Amino acid sequence: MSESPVTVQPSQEQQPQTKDPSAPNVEDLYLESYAFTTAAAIVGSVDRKVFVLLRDGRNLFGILRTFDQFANLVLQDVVERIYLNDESNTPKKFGETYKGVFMVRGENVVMLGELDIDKEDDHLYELEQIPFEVAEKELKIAHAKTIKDEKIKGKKLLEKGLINDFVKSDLY
Amino acid sequence: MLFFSFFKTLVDQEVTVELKNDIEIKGTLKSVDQYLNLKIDNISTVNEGKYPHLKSVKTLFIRGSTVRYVHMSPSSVDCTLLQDASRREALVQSAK
Repeated sequence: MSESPVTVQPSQEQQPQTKDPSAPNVEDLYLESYAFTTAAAIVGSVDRKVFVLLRDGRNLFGILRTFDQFANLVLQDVVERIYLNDESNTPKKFGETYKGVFMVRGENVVMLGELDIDKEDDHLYELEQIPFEVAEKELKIAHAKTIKDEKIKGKKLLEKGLINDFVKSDLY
Repeated sequence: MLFFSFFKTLVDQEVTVELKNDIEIKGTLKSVDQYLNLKIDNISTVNEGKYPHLKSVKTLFIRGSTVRYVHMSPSSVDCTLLQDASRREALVQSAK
């Protein structure tokens, strides 16, 4: 008889835990079991609006649907946006276009951020919207200039025995 | 794996990550994995101009391959311990 309270107690303690509606959310559960993996870092952003910066400088905005350990991503309802900066490197204009579904190979990802959907458009009110095609053309010119400048810089550094680690495909 | 363990000790601390494109992102380090991908909360950017949308970002995942430097407070690093660990790791590597 003296043993019975001991056996009953644990089950009483467990019951409220399983019924608790404010139980830890999915993200916390993953963080516990897969601590310190890519999965733990991104799982909380699944089915949320995210932005992804790619190595070629593209900004994609969409809903993250799946991912894996290499940060390969599948994004739904993607909008690509181009920001155009003035001489002082502050953005003045932007252009955007609907792109649909994207499967991004992980190696091309620079960063992925979860957006606050209440604030995501705030900064756009200060900018002037231009057609995407026009923005694309201007960006191409800007990229050509960057590549040219970096080439000159690379040559100058090489003369001094230094290496400039610029890759043409890295325009982020 | 030494630096993976090192970064794990920095979790929940304030760090500044400098990317290869020269932008610096400050925030609380939330997680790190074996590729040194970083997850950062409460971010603020030093030169926000280039990426204005970062203002509305809550948490950011940065792929390890695009990171140039991670700046941290000197008080969060035990240099002697790190040095010892590095030498031990190098010893193990050279024995292979």
